[in-house]
Amino acid sequence: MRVTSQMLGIQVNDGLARAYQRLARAQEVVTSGRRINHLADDPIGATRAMDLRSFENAVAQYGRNIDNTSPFLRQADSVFDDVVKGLTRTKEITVQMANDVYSPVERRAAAREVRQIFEHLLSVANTKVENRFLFGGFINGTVPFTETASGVNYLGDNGEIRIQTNATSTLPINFLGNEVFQGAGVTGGQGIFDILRDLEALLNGQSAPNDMSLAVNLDDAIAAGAGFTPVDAVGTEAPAATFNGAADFSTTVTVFDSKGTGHDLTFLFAKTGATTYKYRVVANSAEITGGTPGNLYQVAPEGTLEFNPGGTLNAGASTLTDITMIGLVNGAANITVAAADLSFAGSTQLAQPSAVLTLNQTNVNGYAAQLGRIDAAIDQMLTFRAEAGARMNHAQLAGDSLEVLRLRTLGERSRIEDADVLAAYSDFARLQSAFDAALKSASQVLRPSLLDFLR
Amino acid sequence: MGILATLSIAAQSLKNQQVGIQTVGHNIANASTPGFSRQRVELVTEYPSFEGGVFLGQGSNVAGVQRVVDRFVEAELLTLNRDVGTAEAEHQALAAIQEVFPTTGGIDAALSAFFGALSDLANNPGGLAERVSVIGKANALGENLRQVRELLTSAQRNLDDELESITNRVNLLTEQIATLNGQINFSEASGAEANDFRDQRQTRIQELVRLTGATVREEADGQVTVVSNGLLLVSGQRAATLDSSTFNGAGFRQVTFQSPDGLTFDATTLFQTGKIGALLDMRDNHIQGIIDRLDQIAVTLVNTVNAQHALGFDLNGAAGSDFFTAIPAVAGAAAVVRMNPALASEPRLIAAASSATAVPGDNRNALALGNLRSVTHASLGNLTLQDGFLALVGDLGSQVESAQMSLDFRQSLLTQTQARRESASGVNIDEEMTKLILFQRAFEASSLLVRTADAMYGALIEMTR
Repeated sequence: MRVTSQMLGIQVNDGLARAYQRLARAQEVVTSGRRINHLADDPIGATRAMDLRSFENAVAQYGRNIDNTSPFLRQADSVFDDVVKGLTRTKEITVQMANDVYSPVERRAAAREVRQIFEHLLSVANTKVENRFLFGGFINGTVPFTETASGVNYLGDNGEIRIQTNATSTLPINFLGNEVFQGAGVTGGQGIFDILRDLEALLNGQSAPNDMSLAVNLDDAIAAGAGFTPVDAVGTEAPAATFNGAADFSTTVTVFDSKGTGHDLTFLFAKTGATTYKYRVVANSAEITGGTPGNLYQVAPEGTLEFNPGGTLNAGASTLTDITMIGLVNGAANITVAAADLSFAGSTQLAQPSAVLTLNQTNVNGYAAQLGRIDAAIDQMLTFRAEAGARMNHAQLAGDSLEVLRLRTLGERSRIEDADVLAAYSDFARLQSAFDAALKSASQVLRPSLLDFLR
Repeated sequence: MGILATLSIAAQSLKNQQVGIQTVGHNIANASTPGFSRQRVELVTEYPSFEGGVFLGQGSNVAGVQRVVDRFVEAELLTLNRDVGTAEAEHQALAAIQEVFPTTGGIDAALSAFFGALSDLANNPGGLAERVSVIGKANALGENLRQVRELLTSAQRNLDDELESITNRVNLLTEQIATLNGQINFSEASGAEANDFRDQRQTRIQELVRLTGATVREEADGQVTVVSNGLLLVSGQRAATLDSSTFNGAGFRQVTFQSPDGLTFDATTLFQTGKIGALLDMRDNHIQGIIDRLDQIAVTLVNTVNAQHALGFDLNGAAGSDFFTAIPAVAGAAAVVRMNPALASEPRLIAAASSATAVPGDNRNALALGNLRSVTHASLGNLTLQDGFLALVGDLGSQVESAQMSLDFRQSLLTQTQARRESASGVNIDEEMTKLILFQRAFEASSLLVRTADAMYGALIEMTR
């Protein structure tokens, strides 16, 4: 083939341009450390890397989200721990106070401790994490729990604050106060604040003697009659005429319910013989539910009293019955005065006995009921605590798997778009020496001419 | 036979060697002239005389000066020039817009950051810092979309401007070719080939083919006819002109063809190859296609975010208004992605809650907004916004890659073929030097012949004294 000077020139130029271009690319790879610097370097790899990078961003975001759950769940856990501790202490107090050996003063001191526990639990129920109420649902403007005369109100809502933990799942980071502290929607749910308030009231109410002694007027001046007519069933209204006409005298005593509210019981006595009496127990409509205001209602079956000479009660010949008040206001536990706790003594006072005696319900029932509620409340709290633990676990696992995913994605992206530094550098060195060789050979080929030899 | 004949041979030879030396000089002088074909003096022996029963040589004569051309290679060069012209324009346009989409930190990163900010807002729906961050990221995303679209439009404008200079160049070339047609026709009437005119015409034809993708046919009278997809650009000594001063509805130049007869019509769609064809294709199809897809992504983003935002409630408990300013039409959408100014200036108005009464703790709408990250859209071919954008970028990347490969391939073919042309038609200085020496020696020998003949004449004259 004929070779001409211009042809050599074209070839040298073309070859050098290509070599220089390759060298420039190798240089770009070495300096940027990346295999893909322009879309066209590897369109599929470039878009894949972009895709992976945005996936990395999303994963990092989920990671941040999960980190965000931690303060909430940890705080919830510590609150539940506090509540369990408070309830456990309350249980101790209750068990202790169920013994009769404690004086009213000591019970009132115990009531104050219960009040302290109540205050503490109320304050932890209003815990804020990162300026948000942990137990208030979405509501952030108002404190979720406030105490009023009738109890503790929940002012939050049912909002679950959910945090995205990956593309498809979310994790709630808050607990609803009405579920946790008021047992709403929980099977057998307990109101923790109610328990503490009731217990406090119960303890404060324990200031009466152990049993109830009632004096009966054995005055001979009272004529014996037929007793009460008609015979009214328990729970029915006792018409005013019944005792106004038939009762010879009456005595009113006050008993306290589980919440410490006093209830007046009126004992109506009617003389049926020289030493025999009948009595009925009635209560005002305000003490029971469903009555007509102003009227009295019978709360126990009729009893009979037989006195020995000298005014002592002949227990064998008498019929004493339990007195039960049910459906008390404000959710208080039923009051039961056992017949055994009633004692009657005769008196020869001319005046009708007017002493107002206060009954002490030995009321193990009250404490026992509270104990049952406390145990249930502790269980309830432990359930929530377990859930908090499970959620933390979930967050931890999700975080771990995100980290694995992140590393894998990072590796994948690096594999796609990062230059193998050693290979890139050796490529560069190779291309550089090739370029040098091309330059040298070009200068060698282009220089000599026949003219050099004709001089 | 005689001294006179010898003198005459010597004189003719002196003339011949001078023609040879002049041609060598012409070749050397044009050694680096593009498109030049080396020329060769064709020497033939003079018709012999028959004297005394023998043929006596009468010296040599110049039969002509031929240019050395490989016609196959020339034809191949035209085709390759057309292909390279097309590939070059495609690559130039695509490589320019490739840089509009960087491999890191582009629209994809802005999208990701925007949804990330919404997710952060879901973590703390009442937080002002999170809200301000959402605004910042939304502004950055809008800015990014607007900027990319602006760059794409300006790439179209650049191609448009180039179209004007190309049509001017085409007009100049067609006119020159027509003129050279005339000169060749005139010069070759005598039968001798108009070497240098043909070289000049050939280089102009190559450039014209590169620009327009035209095909060339040489007529019997030595003139060429240049036709581009049915448009007669040059016929004999008449040239057509192109005009690009009229604009279409989109504000882009159209190519108007004016035939030598004065017939004028819009020929924009008739140019399919060559630089003009490629520029038009890039401007009206490829870049426009990318712009259309970007607009579709922008309008999908704005509509879905606005729809979800409207379902929520802001920190004041009012229903969410438009998050982005509503977009009236798909065309041009990416150029007008802006956050609703009312929201941009008042972070409290971002609707993170799903219920008016549960603000500020309610994060459900912020969660839903953040989740739009992974929602697919029928308008994007059932892809997410991110994937829709990546598909667009991937397609562009593949186009650039194949344009690059095609350009490299055709360019190297062209270079090889140019080398082949040079091999046939190029000037080799060494060869010319050798010829020069040969001609010079022959010249010297011929002058010696004159001197010898002269001496012989002298001897004859002395003899008769």
